[in-house]
Amino acid sequence: MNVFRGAKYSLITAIVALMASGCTPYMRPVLQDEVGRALGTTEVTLIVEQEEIDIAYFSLSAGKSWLLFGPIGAVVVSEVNEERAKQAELRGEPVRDALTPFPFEGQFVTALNQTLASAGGFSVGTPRLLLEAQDQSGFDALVLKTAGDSHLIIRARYAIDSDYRTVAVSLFARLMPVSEALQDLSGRHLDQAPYFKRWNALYENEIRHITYLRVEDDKPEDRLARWLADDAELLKRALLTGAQRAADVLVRDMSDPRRDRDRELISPVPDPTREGGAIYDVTESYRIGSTTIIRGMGGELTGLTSARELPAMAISQ
Amino acid sequence: MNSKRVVRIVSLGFLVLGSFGCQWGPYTARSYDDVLLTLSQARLVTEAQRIASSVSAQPPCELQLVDVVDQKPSRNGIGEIGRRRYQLPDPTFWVEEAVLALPGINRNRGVPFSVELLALSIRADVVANVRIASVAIRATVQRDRENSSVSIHRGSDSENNWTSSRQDASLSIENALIDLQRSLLEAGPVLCGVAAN
Repeated sequence: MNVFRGAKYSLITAIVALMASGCTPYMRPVLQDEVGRALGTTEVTLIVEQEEIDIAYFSLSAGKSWLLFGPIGAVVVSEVNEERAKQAELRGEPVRDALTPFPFEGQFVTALNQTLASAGGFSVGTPRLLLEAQDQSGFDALVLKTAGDSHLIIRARYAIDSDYRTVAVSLFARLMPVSEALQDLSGRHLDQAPYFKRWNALYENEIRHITYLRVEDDKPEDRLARWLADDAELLKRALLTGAQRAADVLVRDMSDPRRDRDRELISPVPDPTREGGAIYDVTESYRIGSTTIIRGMGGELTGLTSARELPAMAISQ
Repeated sequence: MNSKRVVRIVSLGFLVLGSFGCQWGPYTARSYDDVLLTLSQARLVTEAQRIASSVSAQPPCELQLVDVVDQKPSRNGIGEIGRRRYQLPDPTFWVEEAVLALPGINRNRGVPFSVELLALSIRADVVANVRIASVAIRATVQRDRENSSVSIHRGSDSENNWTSSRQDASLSIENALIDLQRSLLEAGPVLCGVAAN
């Protein structure tokens, strides 16, 4: 009887495990040294889908509230989220107005071009900017139309949070093999559609750069005033520095062939955004200039720079 | 080895094997189904009248809409939610309709002003389960040959109870345009140059 009961629970565990496995991450591909040396000519495409800066806000998960409080909890959370979204849109208006017009996408391409061109071992063409969202067939077409040996496709986003504490630039990069030689060397063959998939990629990672004002600093209105002072100079510097740093980190990460499963957790890293805070689940930490870079368990990288330490730069309008 | 242990090992096997069986990431986009949105001119007019009656300040001058220009970045839709990519043909037409529905704004007489459409989009926050539609325009009022003023106006709509259907998405864009109408009407004195922003 006990055996039967134990088996029953184990069977339930098996079913849950099987269902959960459908959403378990496939291992992130890292660029192996010999493949990196044979990349040949790499095309670069930067995709920026958003029309204006995103306004990030803290939302509650309806799913969790459903589990805790049933349908009433879900309804309440849903109403709360809608109100927060409305408020976030309103709070984002002065920021969006201040960035009109500010050709961030074009300057992002320039920053990416400079960083990739100055990186050793890369032979890249000038990045192409796409402003349209791509579906699977769009991504596949990008890969198939590649004239070079490989194609680095980067999707970028940028945002400010609704409390005006952080300005984030994030990019998701995937490097695809195109030439037969590179496919043979890497063992990643584009035999059948869909081509633009993780298991076909030579490299993939998500990289963010966050410029922060300390939480203890001032009230939201004061923080907004600081971002927007002098024709939003600090905000624009945060975006451009974010683009540059994210590109720097991308180039550095592409030359690091260590798999995420081979990395071990290191001691908690001091959280520069909070007095006395720490960041856990970190497998790597280093600095580039005034930026602290940390790597999470999934290999993703986050750069943190204090707004006070942003490098000076000329802002072109 | 008893049967419980066997089943547990099999369970673990499913988990380990399954972890290699799927991928997850920002690039899970499937093929989009294009959805053509159709808005209601009548609703824009009705709502403009309703807002005008509720906003105490009427525009202190007549404004002549000279032009509406699409300055949005080149895009092949106004947004994607899940597998649906929404299309709104000729968005400047709808902005023009929304602006001309307001009292005090016409095509023939008054202080000339032109409109640039900066943004018009619909998107969903999947975590919060909120759909957001937004529109932004830049209005340039030409008071005389040397004197012009530029201002940005916005409208948005946030919904927590929504579907991805054509009708529902169309309604959301209409709501954003109606919110833009309210914003323009409230800014009437600024546009007419009789009050500071």
